[in-house]
Amino acid sequence: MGAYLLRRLVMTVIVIILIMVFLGALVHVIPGDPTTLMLGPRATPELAAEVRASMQLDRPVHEQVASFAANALQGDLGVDFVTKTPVTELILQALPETLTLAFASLILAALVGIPVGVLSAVRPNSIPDRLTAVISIALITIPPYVAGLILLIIFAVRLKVLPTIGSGEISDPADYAQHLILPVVALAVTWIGYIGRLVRASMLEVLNADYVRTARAYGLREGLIAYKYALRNAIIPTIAILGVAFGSLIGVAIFVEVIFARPGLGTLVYDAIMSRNYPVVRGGVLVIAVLFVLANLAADIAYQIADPRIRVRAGRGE
Amino acid sequence: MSRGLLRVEHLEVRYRTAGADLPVLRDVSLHIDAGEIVGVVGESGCGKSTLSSAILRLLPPNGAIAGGAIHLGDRELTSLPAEEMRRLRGPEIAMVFQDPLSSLNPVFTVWTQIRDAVRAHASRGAFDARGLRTRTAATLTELGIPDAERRLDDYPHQFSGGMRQRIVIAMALLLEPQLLIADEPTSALDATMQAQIVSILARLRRERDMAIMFVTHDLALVSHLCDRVVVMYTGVVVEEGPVARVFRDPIHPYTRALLASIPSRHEHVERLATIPGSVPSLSDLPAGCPFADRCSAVRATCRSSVPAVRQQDGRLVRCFAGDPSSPYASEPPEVAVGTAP
Amino acid sequence: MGAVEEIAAAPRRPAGGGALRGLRTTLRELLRRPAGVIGLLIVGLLIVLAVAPGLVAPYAPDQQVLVDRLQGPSAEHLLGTDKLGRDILSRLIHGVGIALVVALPAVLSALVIGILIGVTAAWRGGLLDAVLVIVLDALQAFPAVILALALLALLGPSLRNVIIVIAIAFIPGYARVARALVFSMKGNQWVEAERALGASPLRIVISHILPNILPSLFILMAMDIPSAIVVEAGLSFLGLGVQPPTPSWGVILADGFESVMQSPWAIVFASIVLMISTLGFTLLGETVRDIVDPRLAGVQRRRI
Repeated sequence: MGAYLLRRLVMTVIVIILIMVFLGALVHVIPGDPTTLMLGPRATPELAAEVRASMQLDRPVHEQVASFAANALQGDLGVDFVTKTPVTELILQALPETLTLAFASLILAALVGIPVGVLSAVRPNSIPDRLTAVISIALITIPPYVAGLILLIIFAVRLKVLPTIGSGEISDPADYAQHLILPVVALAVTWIGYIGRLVRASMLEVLNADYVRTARAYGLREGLIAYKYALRNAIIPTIAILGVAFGSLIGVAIFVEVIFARPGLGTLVYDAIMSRNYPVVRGGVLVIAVLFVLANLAADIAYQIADPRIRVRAGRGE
Repeated sequence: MSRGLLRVEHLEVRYRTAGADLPVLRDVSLHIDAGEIVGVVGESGCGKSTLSSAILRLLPPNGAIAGGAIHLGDRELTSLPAEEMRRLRGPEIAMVFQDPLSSLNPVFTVWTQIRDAVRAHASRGAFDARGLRTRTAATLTELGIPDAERRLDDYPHQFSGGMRQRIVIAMALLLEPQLLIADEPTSALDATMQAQIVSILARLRRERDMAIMFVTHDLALVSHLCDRVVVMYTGVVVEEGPVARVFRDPIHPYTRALLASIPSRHEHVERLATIPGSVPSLSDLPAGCPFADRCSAVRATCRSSVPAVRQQDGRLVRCFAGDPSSPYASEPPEVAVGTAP
Repeated sequence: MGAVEEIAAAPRRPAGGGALRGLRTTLRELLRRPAGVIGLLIVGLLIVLAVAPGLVAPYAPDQQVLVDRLQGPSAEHLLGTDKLGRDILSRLIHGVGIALVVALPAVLSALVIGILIGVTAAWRGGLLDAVLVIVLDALQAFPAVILALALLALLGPSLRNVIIVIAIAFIPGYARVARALVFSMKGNQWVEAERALGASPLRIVISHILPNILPSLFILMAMDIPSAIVVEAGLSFLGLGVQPPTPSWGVILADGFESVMQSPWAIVFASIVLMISTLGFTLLGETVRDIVDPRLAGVQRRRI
């Protein structure tokens, strides 16, 4: 396991550096004058000149890319065009909101999806199972923005039980929580369906495994078999998916942040695109991508730890 | 003859598949007394594993016992409520499976699994974990696993195949069952380990008077270990009797063919004898005796009716040949088939 | 010597008539499964609507009657009207074509380019392969929407750019699969024999490798179409994709969002249409996969 993890870590670092190189080079790779690309066709000559100077666009391309990557590794993502604030500062301000969203959605998806999957697997092809199957598949097809919009309509506009806008007062947990509910549910919807199906499939496979047959042959109670012996095996692939889910949630958070007018990394990037504030876009995308990669790495590590066949080296036998 | 421990009577098991109902076991009867080792042999697909599963009522979801009875002592198992059935799995009948790697849960330690198996049958409050651990370590040591106490906290993948099989046997023993069903316990092991497992089973019978049902396709092992043998073919019992007699002088043509196809290390053979033809599929069983197409002694009656089980020469046989009262006796033999003896 | 004779005797993959026969049996099997039937019906309907929206839609998609804006479903407007008084049903119907005109070329281009990259990487092996793999890994490190945002920020929002951006997001997926498939075939006896006989790499690739990997890749492509549709609608919803007044479903959602307080209908019906379309393609794709090559069930598709 150690050797594999080391290789994985090295690969991760290389990928992160490549992400930085890619984003640094993007302006130069796309056909067109970098300044026009960033500012759009309606930029004034003065603004263009200013940008060209501040971003040092007259240096050779490879130098620019290298310096961007080097800076990025140290946490410097440049300054934004409008207020000249360091991009990193803006991102760090916005990040906690998005992380909260992603985390809460992940937990909700796991708390609902896993039990649903287990219950479906324990009684396969029964009426509850078929019903949840249809619902799960339906949930999987709902993109986060559709879920957000529909929830907004039902609960905020029509029923008026939940707020439509903003993230509420952070000092008032109840208010903050209220503002969290709809966006979190919207983000979690797809993953509830997905995790439910995945857990069901894993459990079914496990429940047909020989070691479950052994457990039955020795008279273990069905409850113990399902919730301890089977689930412990079936949960392993699910853990990996949870890591992937987290990374993905950070990426699609932008939709619910826009729909519910919440502050966050998504809104930051979105506003920056609209106002042609390229350094913020580039920095925000970079951070999101890096978080995605790290989330996948964490999932991989968790998977290794969870499976004793990988965690504990074999070969102490005769 | 004491009719003691296990009596299977006219058992019928069917599997429901997409196409049709498959009659996997038909009119299977056998008995095992305390302290006996009975071998159940046959080719793959003859239903011997289904028989083991049926006795423990562990058939897959699409399988069902369609008729017959299974008696354990004075209890009838097919009509037992599920909870009572669960309680006798382990303490009364224990099963050892073929593949020791997949039989043990990979994510729990050996100790956890053994402890849970024993605890599942302990009455409330009467569970002594420490005592069990000591007994478990002792049993493992007795079965030849070194450093047992420490290794209880290892995971199954850290043991070799032979040792894993011994762990499963230990788990079975700790529950002190009257009957041990060993379903192809050596098929996944190499020859040395096979021999070790077989000697363990023999020792168990000697020291604990345990009854063992030894399911296998390996006739050589049966001849070394078992007292009696039951020969199965596509879901029916074709011959049953004391091992020495059946192997020395088989009556049923299938038994004879099986024995003839074992290469003997004492003779040099030009070609391995095989049984011509192939096993009929369960969805397309012939009207008469299932072995008719491959039998060297086949006659007209064989193709139209299924022979009943008869006593002959100190054992039970399902064959028309040798039965003076059946029409078989007066019919002409069909043309000789292949190289079956 | 023996190897070549074995090759000559081995069954070759039938071209032409064989492929068509395979199609017919697949179709028959598809019709036996409820999921397949539903998928086929939905996709069939979508294709009809995409090709001839004018025949079905009661109104033109840009016909504004401001007096009637934000109405609910009624006799004249079955699904109601939007913020500019346009008929929602008609706009949704015209939206089918938009969705497909983005999704299909995007996924198809990704497939072609992905195959090129993947086959080249696997065939050459060595350093080129190692470098390409890492680059593909890096590209796949971006969630599809995020990658799209970065690119659209520079390219500017438009229908054409959305196609490009979605294609780029999906390329690594196909490249990886193509590469894996080629690797599994490289040790193949046929390939070795052909090489021994001096066939050029290009010929081997075209006549042996491609026919074997294309069916699986096509199935993956079919399963990616719903994701592409969803990504496009999402980007258009954000205003970064197809631009109004073109009736992309995402645009319809965005228009509806603007006036969500007054009328929910645009959002409600656009959502339903979007989900049914996604469902249709997903059912069809998954059923075909189960029939033709169930091994593919394990291949991870890009999530948005």
